[in-house]
Amino acid sequence: MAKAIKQIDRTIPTAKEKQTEELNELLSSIAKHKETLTLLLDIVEELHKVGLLDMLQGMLKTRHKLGLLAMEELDKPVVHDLVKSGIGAFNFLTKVDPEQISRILNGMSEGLKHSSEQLENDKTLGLWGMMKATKDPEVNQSLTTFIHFLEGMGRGLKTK
Amino acid sequence: MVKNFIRQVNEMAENKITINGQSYSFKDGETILETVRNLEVYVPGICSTQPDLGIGVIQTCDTCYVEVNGEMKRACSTKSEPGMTVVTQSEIVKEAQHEAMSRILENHELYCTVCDNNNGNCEVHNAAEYLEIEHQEYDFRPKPYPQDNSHPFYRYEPDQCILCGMCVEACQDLQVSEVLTIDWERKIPRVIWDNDVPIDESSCVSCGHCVSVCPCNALMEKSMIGEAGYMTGIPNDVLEPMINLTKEVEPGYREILTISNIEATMREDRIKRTKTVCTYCGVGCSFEVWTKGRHILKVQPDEKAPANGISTCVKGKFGWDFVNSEDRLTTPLIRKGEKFVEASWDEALSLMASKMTEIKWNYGNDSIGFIASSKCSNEENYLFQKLARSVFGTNNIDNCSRYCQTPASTGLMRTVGIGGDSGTIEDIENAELILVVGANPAESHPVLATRVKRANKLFNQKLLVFDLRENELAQRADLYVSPKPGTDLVWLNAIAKYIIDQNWHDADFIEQRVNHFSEFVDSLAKYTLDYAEEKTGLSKELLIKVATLIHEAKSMCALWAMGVTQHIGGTDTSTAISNLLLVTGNYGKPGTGGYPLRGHNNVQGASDFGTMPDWLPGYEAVEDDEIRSKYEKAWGTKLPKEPGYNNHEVVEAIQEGKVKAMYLFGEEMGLVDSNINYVHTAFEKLDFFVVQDVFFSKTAQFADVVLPAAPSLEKDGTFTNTERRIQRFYKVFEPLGQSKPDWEIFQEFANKLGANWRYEHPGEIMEEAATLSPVFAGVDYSRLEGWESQLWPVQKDGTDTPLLYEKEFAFEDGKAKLVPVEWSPPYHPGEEYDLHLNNGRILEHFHEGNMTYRSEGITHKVPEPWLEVSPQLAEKRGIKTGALVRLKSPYGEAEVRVWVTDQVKGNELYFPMHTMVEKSAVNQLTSSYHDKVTHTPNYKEMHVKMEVIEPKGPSPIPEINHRFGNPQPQLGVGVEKKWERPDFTTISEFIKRKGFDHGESNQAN
Repeated sequence: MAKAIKQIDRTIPTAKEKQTEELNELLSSIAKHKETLTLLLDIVEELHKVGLLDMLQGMLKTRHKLGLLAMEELDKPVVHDLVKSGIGAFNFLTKVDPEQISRILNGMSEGLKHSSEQLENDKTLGLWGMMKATKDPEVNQSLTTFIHFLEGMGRGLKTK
Repeated sequence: MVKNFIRQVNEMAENKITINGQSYSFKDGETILETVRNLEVYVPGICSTQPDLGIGVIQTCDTCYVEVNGEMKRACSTKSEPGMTVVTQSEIVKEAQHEAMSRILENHELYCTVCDNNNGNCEVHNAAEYLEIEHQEYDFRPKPYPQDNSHPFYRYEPDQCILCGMCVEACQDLQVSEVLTIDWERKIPRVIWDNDVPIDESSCVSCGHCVSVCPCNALMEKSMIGEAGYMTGIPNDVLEPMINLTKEVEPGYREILTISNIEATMREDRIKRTKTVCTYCGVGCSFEVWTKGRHILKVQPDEKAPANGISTCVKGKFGWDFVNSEDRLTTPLIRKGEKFVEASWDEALSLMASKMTEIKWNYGNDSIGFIASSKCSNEENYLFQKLARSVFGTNNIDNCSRYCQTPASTGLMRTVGIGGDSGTIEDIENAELILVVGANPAESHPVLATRVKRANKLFNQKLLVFDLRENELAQRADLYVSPKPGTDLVWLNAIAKYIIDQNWHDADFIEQRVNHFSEFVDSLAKYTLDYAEEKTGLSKELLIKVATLIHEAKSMCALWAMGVTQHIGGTDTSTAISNLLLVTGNYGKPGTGGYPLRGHNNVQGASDFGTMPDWLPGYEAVEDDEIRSKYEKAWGTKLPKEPGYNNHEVVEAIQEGKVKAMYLFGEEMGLVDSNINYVHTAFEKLDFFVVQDVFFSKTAQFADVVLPAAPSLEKDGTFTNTERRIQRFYKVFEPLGQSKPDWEIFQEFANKLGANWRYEHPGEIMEEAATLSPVFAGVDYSRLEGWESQLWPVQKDGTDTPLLYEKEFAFEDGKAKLVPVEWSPPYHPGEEYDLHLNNGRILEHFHEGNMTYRSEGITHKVPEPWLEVSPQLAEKRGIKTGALVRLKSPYGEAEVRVWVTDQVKGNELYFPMHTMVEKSAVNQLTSSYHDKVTHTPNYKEMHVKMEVIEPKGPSPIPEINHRFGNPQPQLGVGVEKKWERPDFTTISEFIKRKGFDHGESNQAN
């Protein structure tokens, strides 16, 4: 014999019981990852010492305002151009063969070294000297490379 | 040239086509787009990405332009022909597709990385990527319309809408609710709802088709917004300048798309997609549930889903909030005095074991009743009947198909041998004539109804509807007939007689495949047209018209539901339908057969897997010694021979003191059984009552132990839909709190009683059922993976049976039986009860509503049930919509608010069953009379008195309900109107003007 009843006595855990349970869960999780957490704490301590954490905190707390400010600053023609140039430069680099660029840079580095050594001599070349210098195989190699570069650049400029 | 000519002649002979220089075969009737896709040659085609809508019917996106014999043509709308030369990759094709895509991007901003639709399946994103779109050819142009956020479940963002019209096609010609159109006339076109009203105020039925097919983010589930992406939660005031910055900088779409692809890949980590099967009706829609933690992002159907393709209804698409409801039962409860207290599983199961064992010892095995659930899985039903039979030694087990579908199954078993639909939804789609009797599929089986509506609208399928109410299918029907309540058997027999008298019957079919024809003809003698006219109220002319329609159709499917079964003569009327199908030869061929539309998701499966008092799994008789001994051997226990009590008899047996304890799961018997006052007093008499449910139901209030069960999204298993199709569903979430899947609970309980069951997964339960029951011999979880399904009977090698009776009927001699049936006049409680009370379902809610009322959006659309009253009756009683009335029958009374509507006529009332409020439950009024054969309650046979409590008041249906909308029927999206716009140039014309050479195409020889 059982009449219909609606009352349910739910054992709702008290705030303290709930907290104790959650703390226990947390503690066992901490124990499990002891090494990682110790390392992390050390890193956090260093970040705190140099004041980075404070800065990060400030940024996070004001993220919406900062986002607005950033967008206000960023969404301007100058920045548009800057980003466009950046992307252009990036695209340029992606198109270049790294070996080529390393060879050219290597040459440039040698050139810089040699020219700064010669800078101390404080000697200049006359017109004749220059003509003569073009016969020097090393100077000639550089000039030929440069002329080829100009040819290629011209081709590139024509195609839009 | 000569070579080319020879090649063409050869190809024409062999049905071959040349694509990009290579020769391929194709199927007759295919479009070029279908051919290339079958060959896995990629051609974009945004508006053809949903095959369910049809390839080439929309023609709005123009991204599929290819070169056909040197001319530019849409691949989607050009048929493949022998000898044709198609080029899908050339400069000119690229240019054409690029132009089409550029026009699309004029309407759509590619801010993919911060878009919630960036999940790898965005058609616009993918097409832009394929076409290597680098820059905006035409500036993006926002549309001068605000977002429409009015609907509770989805939004429309005109600025992102590419005007492909897939949503319109889905609404007009697949769902056929005819709400959406594109207004091509205005300066900047947009999608509009009805005659341009906010979505929430339109006739939108919230089925979700439009959202599911949208190829971008214009139509989106609100549950996705700000949730799916890593950066989509950014507030608008920051987001907009960010999008602007990206646009200004214009890094080229390649970079944008790359970054968004990375972001989309990262989302795979947080978004889980799990296939499931819907639990809201017997159609068996399957789809993926996208989740993030316990948050449901969306339900996404897929064209590969066997029953529904990309279709859903409001409940399947949006009705899953209940899973995370705070009202869920999460811990076992035990009655202590006048209240329930929480208990551990061990306490609860131990108490059950000791109490039920004690009752069994004191009063015998049959003093315990088991009520199974047609909402739970096949495996759970199998295990529950095993528990009842092998552990408790009783056949007192039944499921709720007793409340709805057993008469239909019995009618079919009498005549053709198998109690299930004789074919599939595909047969229903393809029939020349659909006969609907006593069913309202548009609300009760919405996705199945879409197939009928579509075939009727687009493919000339004839529709013949018999119902008391002029429901949606009735309104669309070629012929709608409203007979007097409870007289269906009379007109069915009269039509059968008339057809035979006219010699219109299928004599060859009957001769070769059907027994007892002459006895059947004799039994029809009294069912003359005159007699039928007198009993049904239908004129002879009308009946002849019906007979003629049936005679003229080369194939017919009959669909029926509770309007037939829930009567004193429910089984006989179901038999009469099957008789008519046999007489006209409408069995065993595509597009024919009998289709009882199963109400719950697993009505078919619960019965199939043996939760019935007289049947073991697979409809093997429990009384058959040989069959029983097979199970006894497998289970290692003795099994009872005598059939037990069914749902209806068990209530009587409790009242008589024969049944002392009951174990019920997943069934709200306290609200949905008929004559609930009688059921409640029975519950009160039980010595011990266990109720297992997802929520604390009305039934649970009578329990001694309440067990928390996990719903379908929290477990694995299979359901069997109305087609006899077995489909797997997979676990989406872990069970909430301490709740558990029903099968696990049964196993733990059985093991408390020493059964020693060791099932680790439902797949093992199915394996056992398949070994024991011949009709499931080849059913196996490995064959049911993903979207795969099997329709029983399934042979050992896995061959299933979509269409029954192609060669023989399921009787020993392979022949069907015509079974004479007589009309049983419906129950009438007496002249003073002057109004006929019809009852049933509505679209938005399910059963008593303990799942659907927990969806805020659904409740926004339908907060409570109503009583449908005809305008004539309302005028007579001086009431208006919103009036509060009290209905009285000899069995009880109920209070409900009125909706005055011409869906019902004269003294007919219609009272939906969906309520958790006891005093508004229709079953306060229904009786305990029942079908003579199966004991299914005669829910549909009641008359009541109506008292007016308040003549007017607040309407029970809000204004924003779809029933008050203003649909705009048309065929598809009306792309011709787009083409007629003065600013429209065809892509081929555009290319011509641009000056591409149209000579010889780029060929290798």
